[in-house]
Amino acid sequence: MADVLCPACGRPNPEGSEECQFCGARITPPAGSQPIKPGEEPIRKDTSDLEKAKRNEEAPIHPGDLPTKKNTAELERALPSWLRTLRDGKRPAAGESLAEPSAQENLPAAPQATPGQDSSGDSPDWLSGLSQAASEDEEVPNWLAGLRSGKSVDSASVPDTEEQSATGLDHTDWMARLGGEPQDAKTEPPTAAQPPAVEQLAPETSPEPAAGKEMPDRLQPLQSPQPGAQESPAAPQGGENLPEWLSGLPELSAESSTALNETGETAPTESTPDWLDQLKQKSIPPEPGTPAGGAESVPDWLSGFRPEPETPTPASGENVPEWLSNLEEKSAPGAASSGGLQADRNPPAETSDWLSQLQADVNAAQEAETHKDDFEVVSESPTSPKETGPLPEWLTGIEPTGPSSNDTPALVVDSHDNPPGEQGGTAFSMETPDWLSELNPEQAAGKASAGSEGEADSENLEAAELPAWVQAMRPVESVVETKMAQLDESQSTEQNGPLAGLRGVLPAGPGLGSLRKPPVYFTKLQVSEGQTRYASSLDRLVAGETQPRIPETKRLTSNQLLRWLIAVLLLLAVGLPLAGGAHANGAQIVPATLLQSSDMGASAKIIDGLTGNVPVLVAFDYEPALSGELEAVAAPLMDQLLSKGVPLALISTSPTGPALAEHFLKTTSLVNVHQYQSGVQYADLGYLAGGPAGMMYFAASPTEAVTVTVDGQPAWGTGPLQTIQNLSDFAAVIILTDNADTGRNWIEQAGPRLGSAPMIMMVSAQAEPMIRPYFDSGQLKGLVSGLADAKIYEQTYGRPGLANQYWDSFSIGMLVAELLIVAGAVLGVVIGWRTRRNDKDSGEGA
Amino acid sequence: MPVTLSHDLVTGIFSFLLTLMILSYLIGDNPAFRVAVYIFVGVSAGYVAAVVWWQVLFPNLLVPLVTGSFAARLVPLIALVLGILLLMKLSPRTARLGNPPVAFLVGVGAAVAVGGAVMGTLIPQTQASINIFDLSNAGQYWLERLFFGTIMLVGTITTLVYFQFGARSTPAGPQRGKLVVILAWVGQIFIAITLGVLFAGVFTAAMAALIERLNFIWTFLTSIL
Repeated sequence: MADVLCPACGRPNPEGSEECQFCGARITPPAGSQPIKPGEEPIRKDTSDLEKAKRNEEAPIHPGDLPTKKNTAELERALPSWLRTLRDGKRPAAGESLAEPSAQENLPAAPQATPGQDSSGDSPDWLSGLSQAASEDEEVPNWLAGLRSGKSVDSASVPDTEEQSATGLDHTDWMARLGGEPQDAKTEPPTAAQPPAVEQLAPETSPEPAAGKEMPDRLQPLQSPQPGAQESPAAPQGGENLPEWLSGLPELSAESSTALNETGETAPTESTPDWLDQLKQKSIPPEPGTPAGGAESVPDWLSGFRPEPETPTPASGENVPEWLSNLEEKSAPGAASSGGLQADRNPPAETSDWLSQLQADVNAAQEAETHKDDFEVVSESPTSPKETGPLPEWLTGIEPTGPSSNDTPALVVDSHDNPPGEQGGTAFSMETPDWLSELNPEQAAGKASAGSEGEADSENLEAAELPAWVQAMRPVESVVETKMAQLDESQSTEQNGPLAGLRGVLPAGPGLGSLRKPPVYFTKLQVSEGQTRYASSLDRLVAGETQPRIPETKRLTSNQLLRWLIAVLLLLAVGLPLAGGAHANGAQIVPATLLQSSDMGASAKIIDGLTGNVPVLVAFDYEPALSGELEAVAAPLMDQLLSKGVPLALISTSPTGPALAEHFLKTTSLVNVHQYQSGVQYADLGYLAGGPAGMMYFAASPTEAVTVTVDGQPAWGTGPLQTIQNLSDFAAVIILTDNADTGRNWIEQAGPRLGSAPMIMMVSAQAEPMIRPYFDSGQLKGLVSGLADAKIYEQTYGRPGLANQYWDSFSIGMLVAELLIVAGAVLGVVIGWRTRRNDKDSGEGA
Repeated sequence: MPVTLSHDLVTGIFSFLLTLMILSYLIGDNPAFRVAVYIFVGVSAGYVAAVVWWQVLFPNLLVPLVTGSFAARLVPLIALVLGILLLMKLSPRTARLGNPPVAFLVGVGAAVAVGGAVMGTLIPQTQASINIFDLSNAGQYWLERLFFGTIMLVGTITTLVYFQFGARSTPAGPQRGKLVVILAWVGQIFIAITLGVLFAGVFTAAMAALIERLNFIWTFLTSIL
C-alpha cells in the first residue's frame, strides 16, 4: 500500500487519510472537486449569460464595426475577476517556473523568455502580466506537471532535492497524481541544474514590490503580507514593463510558496478572491496559491499548451494566446484529454473560446508585426527543438509522450480522446464559441456531474465585463447569430438538403406566405339568347349530319306523266298536220297571207337584182341538227337564185358545212330541181379553218385563204370563180347559219370588205334575235329567219316548198307549245301560291 | 312505191333508226339514245378529221411544202412548226412547248375578235341606235320609229344600269340609289323579254327540227309501206 503525499507539505501519509498528519492539510480533494485525470476533457461552462448581461448594458456592436484600439492598460481594471484571479493563480507558480530559467532563455523563439526583449511593451497590457507570469514560470499546470513527471520518470534529471520540492511546491502531489508520478519522484533530489535555475529566477520577482503602488487594492493584500517577496530575486527586465499590480504577483507566489514550504501556513485569505477563498476553505485552506488552486484557475486557453508535444512552447507558454493553444490542441492528440482535466476544475474555463480566439487574433496581429519569428517558431515548431538547442525540461518531457512532430501533421486530432461527435468541435474549436460548445450533451452531462463546487464557483464569479475592444473584436457571427436567434426564433432552420443549417431561407409553412383566396372561375358560360339560339341551331345541324338521311320520294310519276303529256301533245300537234297531208292538197290550216317577212322582202329584192354571171358566195355555217330548218328557210331564196343560173361559191367555217352544202343542193326540194353541178355552177370551197381569223383572212384574200375546192380542183382561175379575186367581187354573200355568233363573225370580219356586195343572212329562228340588230343597222341587207319567212317567200314566189309542208305542223305545234307555256306558267303560279300557303300555314302551326 | 334496196333505202333506214333512237330520250336516258349519240360523235369526229386532212392540211400545208417555192414553203413551214409545238400539249412534260402556238392563236384570235367587234358591232350598232331618232327620213312612220327608238334606248340604258353594281354604304348596308334601283328594275324587264325571245327562237328552231324529223319518218314510213 502506497502512501499518499500531502499536497501541501508533500510528506507521505498513510493511504486513506483525509488530512495530512504533518500539516493538517486536506489530502483528498473535496467532494466537489474531483481530481483531474489525464484524458479527461475540459468542461466548458456557459459564459453567454455574462455576455448577455454585458451586452445589454452597452451599445450593441454591429457587424463590420472596426475595433477601437484602446489603451488596455487603462482597462486592466475592467478585466473580469476570473481573469484577475487567473493571474493571481499563477503567482504561486512563479517560483516554480523559476526552476527553468535557462530553458526559457535558450528558446530564442520565445519572446517572453528573452529578458532583454520587451515583449510586454508590444503585447497588450493585459497580457503583459501574463507574459511576466509566464516568464517567471511560477506555475506549472498540473497537466504540464503530469507531462513533466512522465518525463522525469524517464529522465534522471528530475529534481529530487528537497529544495526543489520546497521551491517547487507547485510540483506537489497534485501534479504527481495528474501525471501518475509516484511520490518518490518528488522526493528525489533535484538535479544540479535546477537549483541555480531557481536562484536565477528568484531575483526576477524581487523588484516587483516596488511597483506595488499601482496594484489593485484587492491584490495589494496579497502582496503586502508577504514581506519575503522583497527578498526574492529581482525580476527580469521585462518585469519593469509589467503592470505594477502584477509586479507583486511573483513575490506573492514566491512568498506563498516559501511560506508553505517552510511554515505550512496558508496565505491571507482576505487578499484572495472569494471563489479562491472558498476553494481554500473547502479543499486546501492553507494553499490558496498552491499549484492545486492554480491548476484549477488555469484557463482553457492555457490548457491548450499542455498537449502540444510538437510545439516547443517556452516557459512563457502561459503567455501564449489561446489561438496558439488552440493550434496546439489541434495538433496534439492528447490535448483534449489533458484539457479535460483542467476543464473540470478551472473556473476560467467559462471563458468563451471566441474570446480566447480574439485575444489570439489580437496577439497574432500585433505580434505578427514585431515577432514574426515567433510565428515562425510556432509554425516550425517541429524542427525548432532541434535547431534552437536545449528545450525546457517540461518540453523535453512532452516530446516522448506526443507523436513525432516530423511525422504528425499539426492538426491531427486523436480520435480516441475525442468522440466522433467532438472531433468537429475540436477541429473547429477556433471558430466555435464556447457557449455553442455547451450544446454538447456529453459536456452538459459532465457539467451536471461536476458537483456543487463548480456551481458554487460559477455563482461566486463576477459578471464578466468584457472590454469594449474585446467585444468589438468578437466574431461577427456570434453577434449576428445571437441577434438573429433572438429575432428569428420563429423561423425554422433547415435540417436537410443544401440549405441545411440556414435559417429562415424558406417559409416554414403556409402561414408565412401571403395567403389569398384562390380566384373563383365560373364554369357557367354567359351567353345571350341569340348566342343560345345559334348554338342550338348548330347543334341541330350537327345532329342532323349524324343522322342518316332518308331520300325524299320524288314525284317522278307526275313529272314523267307531264313530260309524256307534253310530248304527246306536241307530237300530235306536229304529226297530225303532217299525217293529215293537208299541205299536199294545198289546204292550209293557217293562212299564209297573214304572214310577213321580217326583212319586208329585202332579201327577195336583192336576189331579184342579181345578175347571172357574177358568183354569189354562200356560206353554209349551220349544224346538221338544224339542217331541216335552215334548208326550209334557205330553199325559196336559193331556188330563186339558182333559177337565175347564178354561179355559187360554197364555203363553210364548220367541218360539216361542205357536206351539208352538197346535201342542200342535191336533196332539198325546190333546189334540187336546178341540178347544180360542182365545178360548173358552183364551186365548193370546202372548210374554212380559223374561225373569225379564217373569215377575216378569207375576206381579205379569198384566193389565198382557199386555193382548192373540195374536189381538189383549183378554186380560182377556172370555173365559176375565175373572175373572183376579192370578197367584194362576189355579187352577194349569203350566210346560212343557226348560230348568232357565227353570223356576227361574218358580219364583223367580212362586212367591212364586202364593198357594195350585199350580205343576206338566212338564219335559224334561234339566232334571229341576235342578228336582227345588224339588219336594223343596215349591216345586213336581207334577213330570212325561220319557217315563217320561208313560208312568206314561198308564197311570194308561188313555189311552195318545205316551209309550206312544215307550216301547218309548225303553226299547230307552236300554238300547242304556247298553250303549254301558258298553262305551265299558270300551273307554276298556282303551285307556287299553294307552296307559299302551305309554308305559311306550317310556319303558323309551328 | 316499192322499196328497193338502194342507197336511199339504206341511208333512210339508218336515218330512221337513228332518229328513233334519239327520240327515245323522251322516255329518258337509254342505251339506244347513247348509241345514237356515240355514233354521231364518232362519225362526226371521223368526218371532221377527214375534212381537216383533205381540206386543210393537205392542200394548205403539205402541198406547198412539197411543191411550193421557197417563199411558199416558208409560211407552211412556220405553221408546221407551230402545229408540232401545239401537239406538245398532249404530254405534260412537253406541254410548255405548246405555249407559243397557243399564245399565237389566242393573241391572233383576240385581236381579230376585238377588231371585228369594235369595227363590226360596237361602232355600227351605236351609230344605228343614234340613227333611229333621225326622223328626217322616217316619213309617216316617224312616231313608230320614235317609239321603237325610245324602247331601244330605254332598254339599252336600263339593261346597262341593271349591271351596274355600285352602291353606297349605309347603316343598313350597301344600298343602291333609288333611281338606279328603278332603272335596274326596268332593265330587268328588258332582259327578261330578251331571254324570252331567245327561248322562243330556240323553241321555234327545235320545233322546225322536230317537224323535219317527223316529216322524214312519215315520209320514210309511207315510202316503205
